[in-house]
Amino acid sequence: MGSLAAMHYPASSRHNPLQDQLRGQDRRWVRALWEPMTGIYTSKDCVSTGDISGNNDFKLVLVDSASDQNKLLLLKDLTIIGDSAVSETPAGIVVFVSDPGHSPCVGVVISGSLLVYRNMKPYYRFNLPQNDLDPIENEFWDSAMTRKITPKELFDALTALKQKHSIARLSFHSQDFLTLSTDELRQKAISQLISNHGDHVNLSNITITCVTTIKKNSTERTETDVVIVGTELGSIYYIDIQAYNILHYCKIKGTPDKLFSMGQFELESRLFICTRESDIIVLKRSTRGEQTEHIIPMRYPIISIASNMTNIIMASRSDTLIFCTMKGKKLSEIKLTEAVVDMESFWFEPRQYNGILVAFKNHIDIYLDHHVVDTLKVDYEINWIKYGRYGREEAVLIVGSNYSPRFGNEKVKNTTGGIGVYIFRRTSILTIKEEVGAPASQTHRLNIPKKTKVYVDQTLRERNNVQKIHATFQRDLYLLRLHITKAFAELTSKNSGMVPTKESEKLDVNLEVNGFGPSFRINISIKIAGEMSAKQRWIAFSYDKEEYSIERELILMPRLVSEAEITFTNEIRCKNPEKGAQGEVKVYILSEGRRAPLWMTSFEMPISEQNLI
Amino acid sequence: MARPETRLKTGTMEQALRTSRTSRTARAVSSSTARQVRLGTASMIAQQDGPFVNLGRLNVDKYATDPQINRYLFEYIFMHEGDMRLAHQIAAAATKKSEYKDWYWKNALGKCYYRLGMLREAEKQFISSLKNLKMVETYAYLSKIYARLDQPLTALDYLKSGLTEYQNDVTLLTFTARIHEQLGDLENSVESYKKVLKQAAGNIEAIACMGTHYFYSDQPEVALKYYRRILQMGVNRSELFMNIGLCCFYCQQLDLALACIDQALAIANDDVSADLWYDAAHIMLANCHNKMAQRCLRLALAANPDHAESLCNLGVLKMHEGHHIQAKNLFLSAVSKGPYLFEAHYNLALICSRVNI
Repeated sequence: MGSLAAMHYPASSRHNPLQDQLRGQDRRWVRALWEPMTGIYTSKDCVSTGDISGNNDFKLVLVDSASDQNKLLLLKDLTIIGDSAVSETPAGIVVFVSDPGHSPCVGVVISGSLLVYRNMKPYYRFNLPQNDLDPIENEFWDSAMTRKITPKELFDALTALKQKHSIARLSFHSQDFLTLSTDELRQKAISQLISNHGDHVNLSNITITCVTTIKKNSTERTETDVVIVGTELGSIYYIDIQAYNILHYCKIKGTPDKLFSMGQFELESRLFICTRESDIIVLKRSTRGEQTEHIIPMRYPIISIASNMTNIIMASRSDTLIFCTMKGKKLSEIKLTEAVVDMESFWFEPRQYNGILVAFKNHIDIYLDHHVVDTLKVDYEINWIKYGRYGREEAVLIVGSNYSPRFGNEKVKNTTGGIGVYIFRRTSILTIKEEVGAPASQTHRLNIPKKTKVYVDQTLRERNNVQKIHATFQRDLYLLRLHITKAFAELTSKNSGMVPTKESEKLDVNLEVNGFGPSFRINISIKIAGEMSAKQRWIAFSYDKEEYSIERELILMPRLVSEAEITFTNEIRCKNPEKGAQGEVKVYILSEGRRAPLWMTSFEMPISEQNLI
Repeated sequence: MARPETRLKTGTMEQALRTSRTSRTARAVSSSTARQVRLGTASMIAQQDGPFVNLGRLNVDKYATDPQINRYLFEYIFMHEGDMRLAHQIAAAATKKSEYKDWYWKNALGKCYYRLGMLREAEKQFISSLKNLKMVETYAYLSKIYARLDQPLTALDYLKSGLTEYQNDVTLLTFTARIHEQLGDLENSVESYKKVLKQAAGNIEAIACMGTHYFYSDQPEVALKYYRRILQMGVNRSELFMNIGLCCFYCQQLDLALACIDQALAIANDDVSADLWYDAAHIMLANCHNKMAQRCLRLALAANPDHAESLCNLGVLKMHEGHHIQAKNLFLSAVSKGPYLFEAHYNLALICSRVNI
């Protein structure tokens, strides 16, 4: 029965989360297409995907501002298959369904009108009604055009109007006109206008800033949409595409910058408007058509807004992701380490993953419930991302880069624009690893065995006999210490073991006996750590001369080099192997000038085998 | 038939020896002197100080084929004399005589082969013996053979089939438990030992193993119960006292603990004293007597210079005192003498990386 040594065994090795992640990245996204030099210059608002040709093959439609002429491009798998000219850089484009039977149309918003393209050909131009324009302005201009009032009078009238409202509310024509300083210029301008437009000029003060769509009354992809536009002056128009009239109009305080819609227009719907003044205005429309407005003031402007089925997430310029409920109540915030470039909702139907894609400068993270579950690293600067159906695949991420790193950050036309198409693998699994807080091993419960009755009895006994136990323990401890000290003193005085001396600290000696007999070999390997003084040292052997004979009684040790190991051998021969006796041999390391040996050991020789002869 | 003794001799016995006498006579032994039986042949003349049977002069063929004495002769030569060659001869002759139908002789052959190291032949013999008659001994030996052949699962299979024949046989259960323990399957080992204890509550090996198991599963009070049971069985060794002492100490029965440890150290003999001093060092460390612990470890090393655990622990203590070179040397020795100790390797790595030596 052996004694008990207290040793612990290591637990099984843990996963390496980094390795998992790296391997995971290789498995999750497949780079289907990558075109680094498309020559396209576009921005997030001018990109959309849609089933333009109606054959369930989703294509990419965007407005390219690379050359002088803005072009509306239709791309299938990064090859341009259709294009159309566009007069100015639009504020945004949308793909919407006007007729459930027909394929979707592309809507491009430019200044104050919505241009509808069908099959990449211009179809209709819808001008937004001038709800913000003061009708008096129209009267003034009409009179000026028909020469009823002089240009000077027009100027004064407009100046008065300008003081009444702000100049921003005046039409563009008025604004332009008011900049003319001399009467001559004004005359010239009026004459020019009359010759161009006859006796009526269409005034407009609408600049559309953002556009989005919302389903009219159903969640099906192929049902009709309602287009929502926001203008510079804070008007929100809900446009009915089938009849091209305004379904709803409202004004908000602030300039809308981004729109995010949820729900259906004819049922309950919510519109999140991110304004340039860093406010979020939530317009809630109930089924009865009543609208409530709710303002959420934010400290920093919002870069992007997306939803993941349960929450609304906003990326703000302070490098944080803000999670809110559908109603707009803030739930939580995550501070990020770098600035967000773009954000998209992420959903994966087969495994029901609901999250968001957050694009940073060089990588795109997937967030599922506040945790990063995947990172896609790219080696270019990301400008925009779009996620959704593309081609025939369901979960496709399109990443666009505008600026080639070689050319720096200049907005040079004709720079290379890169577009990459990444498909989310069907087999990939996103797991949420709870890395926050204590590491996993700390949350494991300790395996403490249950209290046995014996244990309880013993604790009872301890409590009852405190004094006695303590006294006995102290006495026994003292006796044990006495015992140990006596044994130790015996040891040191007898010199029969490892004697601790100063010099022996630096010597490391290993002794081995090889052989079965009758001749054996003693190997002594000595290693020095540190310097040794220049004294002479010997290895000496002491043994029973009747039983054994030894080759060298005394071995002179040379000066040893630090860290080098040196082995001395000595042959020892058993004189009478038939006896089968075991003798004791003592080995000493002696030093000149010291009486006590530096190191000493004694061992029993093994029983010698018989002589072969 | 009484076991003959060489010590008692009378003149008449010598006379009786020299006459030819066999055990086939129905005459009762007690009718002759001193109730001793002697088989009177030359080989069996008892000398004063010599061996009982002079093997050199044994007529193997005659006695091996004699069914009345061959078994005992074999057992004597196999167990007492240890002369495997002769034992094998006897067994082979007897097997032939019994027309290969006797399980005993097949077992006997198997045992000889096992001792001679011819494991495959032994295996053959035991398996064929099983076909004749299923005996506990056969199963046990087969498991030993497979353990030697490093096929523990086959051994366990045979033991299991043995246990279906002989339910709850202590030997087979013990062997099963040992193999499980060597495989590292402590749960099954403990279960088997529990079964052993159900059968033979005094089986010391089983009690000791249960004790160890409970001690290392953080239930020293239960372990203490087991070790006290062994004490009741009359075992009086220093290891037992040390184990009891350690259990008491960890149960916080401090009054009993140190007394046991002291007792253990007092009655220790040399080969276990290294381990005992090592444990005493642990106790001293628990009481925060660093110097005492060091002395204990030195004593352990004096008793057994190859005690790797003591070297490792002494190294740790030296490291705490600041004697880094000494500590490093100690760890190096620990690593070379006990390469299975991961602590020694780890400590050596740690000291090399932290301290610039």
